[in-house]
Parts: sequence; structure tokens; C-alpha cells
Amino acid sequence: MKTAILTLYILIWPALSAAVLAALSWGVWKDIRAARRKGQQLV
Amino acid sequence: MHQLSLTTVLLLLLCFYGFSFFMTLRIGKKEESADGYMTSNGAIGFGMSASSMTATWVWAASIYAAATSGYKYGLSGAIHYGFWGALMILFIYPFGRRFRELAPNAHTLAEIMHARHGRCSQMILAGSNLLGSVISLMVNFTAAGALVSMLSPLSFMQGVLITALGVLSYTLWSGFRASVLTDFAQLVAMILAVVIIIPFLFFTLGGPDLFVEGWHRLDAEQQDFFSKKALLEQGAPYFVAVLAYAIGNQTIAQRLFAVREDLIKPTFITATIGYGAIVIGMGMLGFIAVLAGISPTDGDLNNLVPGMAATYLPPLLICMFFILIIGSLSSTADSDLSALSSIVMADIYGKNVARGRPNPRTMVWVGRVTMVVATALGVCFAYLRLDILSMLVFVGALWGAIVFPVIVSLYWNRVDNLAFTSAVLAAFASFLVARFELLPMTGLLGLVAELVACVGAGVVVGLMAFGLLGKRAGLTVGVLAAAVVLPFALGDLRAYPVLLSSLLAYGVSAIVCTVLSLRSVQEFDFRLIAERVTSFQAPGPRTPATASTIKPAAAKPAHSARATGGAREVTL
Repeated sequence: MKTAILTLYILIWPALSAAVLAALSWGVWKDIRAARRKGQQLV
Repeated sequence: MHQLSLTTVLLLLLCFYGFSFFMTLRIGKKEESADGYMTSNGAIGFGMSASSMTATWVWAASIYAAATSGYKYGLSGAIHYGFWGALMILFIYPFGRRFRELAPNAHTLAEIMHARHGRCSQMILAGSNLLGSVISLMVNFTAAGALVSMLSPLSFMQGVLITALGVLSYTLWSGFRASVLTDFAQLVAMILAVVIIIPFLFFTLGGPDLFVEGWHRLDAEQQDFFSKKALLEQGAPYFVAVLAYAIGNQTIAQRLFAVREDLIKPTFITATIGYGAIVIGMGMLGFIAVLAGISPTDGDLNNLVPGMAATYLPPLLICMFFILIIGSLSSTADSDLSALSSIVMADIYGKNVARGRPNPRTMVWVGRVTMVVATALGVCFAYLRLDILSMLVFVGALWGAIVFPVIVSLYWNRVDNLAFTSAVLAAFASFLVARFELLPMTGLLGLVAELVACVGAGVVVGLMAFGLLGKRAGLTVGVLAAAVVLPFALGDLRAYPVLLSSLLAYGVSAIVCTVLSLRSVQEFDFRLIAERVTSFQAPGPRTPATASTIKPAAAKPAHSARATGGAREVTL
């Protein structure tokens, strides 16, 4: 049990990083589409 | 035997900086706007701004330091580095919203202080920002040189020069806009490396069996998730320092002024989670290293992570690790260059040399020249191998001393220039006395210092509660925090000079600023800030602040301030 919790404690961070990457990629995609729609630059 | 050949490392660097340069070509303009060069259009979307915030806050030193913390303090070590750093981003956003509300067209925090108090306060903030950004630049170049020389046949200075020229090449023309655009690509490379490298190293070194076979290598404190030693030596000083870094660091303020105003909250929350996940994850490598019985090369803890990568990763993952570190330091270095250029453009040229009437074209070139000079300085300082720690101590102290006066200046209309400047100078002086033990922290002096430090602890926690929950909660939580800390601090805190001096700076600045403000007769009209802080060029899509966009209480007439129990009501 303790080993499983500690393993989760180590591996949760890369999993969380992957989730953040997915959220940010989705956000950037929306930013790009919004900029194109308005005919503006992304930044 | 180096892990990467000369050809491989040159190709990696060429691809990384070549790709970054290529990206910025797409946004390059022949005539760059002065405001765009500093803060883009002030309406950047969620994805780009959150990526940029995360990439900027994760730098090479935070990866190395998190792993060091994991190695020294075991189970809780990585948390005591990454969690508090992440939480800082979360705590700063309510203040960020206030800054934007008061000065929607601002480029730097010092510019707001100029509008609020005048030149003296502005230059204190701008000076500390400049020094901090040059140091950060030097640290990033130094980390690049050390990594390149460890993993490839190139020398330290060759690594420093290639990195410096690479970062400058893609940031110089478009400034902040280039920094934000490249941050996303750099962050993708960083996160992919984290997602692959951490599990790979964990399973290569034994996986779950590591906890059975290596647990005996941890001492009692390292085995304890609630280790007092880890909290007092790592967590608490860092918790106190990061609030100062958030307020004092122009790279954060710059992104705050660039993101679309209604997206400040989701941007900061995502950056909090992103920073925490990346940095705590890398910190876990230190914990894994202790369990596996790995020692850092030459006993230098900065060599721990590069050493693990060089020993246990296959060539492809070493390349990924290399890009992770180069990406983290480059994203911070380009933000430092953008921060330095905007401070010189807005605070030195715009507000002082040109006296508020700058030529926008000249202003952009001032920014570009600043970037070249700053890069040269960063390279020179990296070559000289200056004592980074001592300089960071001074900058951190100055930033710690300005936190309370800066924040309270934007909420309380009675804070004046005298209160601001006196508070900063008194706090900085008291920090120096305690940090370097210029006077013995014993007897009555030690006791007084500990008492004021308890006030400082209350100020730190109270400010955070105030930002998120409002004035009443801030005051209550602050007083409670000071009372809770008091019995533990009296007689004991003097044994931890780093923590004592940091808290002392907060305590002294809060006491001096409050006392002098209570004596002040000034009642500042916050609407003046938006009138004084304007765009330098043609107005973009930003919304100018009006009386209706600033909270009504801030626009109350002078007679509205009322006495409550001997103390004046804070105008919020």
C-alpha cells in the first residue's frame, strides 16, 4: 500500500504536466483561431 | 567521454534557436510599436499567456534547486520548493487584477509607482528590477555554459556565448511579443521532456522496489512528510521570498499587463498548476537519487540532475533533457531581456529622459540597444563567475522590503512618498543587520527582532488572505498568523538568520509604512493613476480606465475616509 502511494506520489507530477500541456495546447489553438477570425496577429 | 558529440550539440542548439528565430519572423514588423514591444496589445489570449507565464517562471535554477531540495530533505523536499513557488503565482493574481484595474495601459510596475508617488519610489522599484533581471540573465547563461561543458566537448564560455547570441537573435527585433510567442514552443519541449524523463528514470532505477530497497538510506527527517527541518530550512524562507519575487520581478508584471484583463484569473491558475507539476516533478528526481544511493558529481548538488541524465538516459533522452534545460533557461532569459528593455524604455527613457513625451521610434531602439547591452553584461558576469548568491540576497532583500509598501500604496489612499521610501530603506537596513549579523541577535535586540519578524509573518500571510478574501479576512488571518508564530519564534527564530532577516524586512516595512501613513494628511485619488499612465503610441484595443471601471470606494472624495477605532479606514 505504502509503495503504491509513493509510486503515485512520484508519477502524479508528469501526469499533471501532461494534462496542463493538453489544456495549454487547446488554449493556444483557440487563440490562433480567434486571431485568424479577427484578422489580428496572435501576439 | 562526453555524452553528446560536438556535431550533435551544435545541431541541437542550431535547431532550437533556429526554430525560435523562424517563429519570430512571422510576427516581425518593419515598424514595431513601442507599446507592443513592451506588452504586446494588452489582450493576449489564455493559451499564449498561461504558457508564457509558466515557461518564464520555470528556469534552469528552479529545476536544479528543486532536485537539490528533494535530495536534501527527502519525501517533502520537492514540495517545499515547487509548491510554495507555484502558490505564489496564485496569490499574486488578485493584486495583478488591481494593478490592471488602476492602470490598464501600464507597461511596468515602476511606472504605476511613478504615477502614485513620484520619481523616488519609481526608481527604487525600477533599480531593483534592473539588478534582478541582469542577475537572472547571468544565472541562466551560467547554467547554459555549465550544461554544455558537462555534456559536450564545447567549453563553458562557448556554451554561454552560443546561448546568449541565440536568445538575443530571436528577441531583439520584436521584444516581448517574440518572448511570448516562443515561450509556448519552449514549454511544449520542456513538458514533453518532463513527462518522459521522470518515469523513465524512476523505472530505470528500480521503480516501486526503490522504496523497499532504498528507504533505509533516508534519515528520520527525510522520511517525514511533515519534516520540521525541511519546513524551516527550505519551505518557510522560500515561501516568504517568492512573494517578494512576484512583486519585484518585472517579467511577471509584464505578462500581467499583456494578458486580456478578463483572463488574468484562469491564466494564473493554470500557470500555478503547470509550474507546480513541472518543478515538483523534477524535484522528485532528487528524492529518487537519495533512494537509489546516487551522489552528485564532485559533491556539487547542481551536478545531480545533469549527472543522472548523463549516466542513466539513452542518447535520445539525453538530447530531450538538453532541450529541457536549454528551453527553460532560454524562455526565462528572453523574458529578462524583454523586462530590462521595457524598464529602460518606460521608466528611464519615457518617464525621466523624455519627461513623458518620448519619440516612439527612438523608444523601440532604446529597448533594442538595452537588450544588446544587457546580453553583453550577462555574458561578462557569467565569465567572471561572480558570487551569485550574495547578489541574490541583496536583490531578494530589496524586493522583500518593497512588497508591503507597493501593495498597500494601491489600496490605501493615505500612503505617501515619504512613507513608501522610509519603509523600504528601514526594512532594507534591518534586513542587512539581521542577515549578516552586523549586530549580535541576542538579548533584547534578538527579542525585538523576533517580535517584529512575527509581525512580518503576519504581514505575509495576511497579504495573501487579503488578496484572495478581502480586507477583513486579511487583517484577521494576519493577526492570527502572527499570534500562532509568536510562541515558536521567541528565542528560537534567531537560529535561522535567513528566515529571521526576510520576515524582519516585511515587519519593519509594514510598521514604518503604516505609522507614517497614519500621520499623513494626503488622500490620493486613484483615478489619477490611469490618467498618468498612458500608452506611448497610438492607442490599441485597451480600455482606458474611467471612474466607472475603478471600484467606487477608490474614487471617494477626500472626506469619505473615516476614523474607526483610532485607525483610518482603508479605502478599497
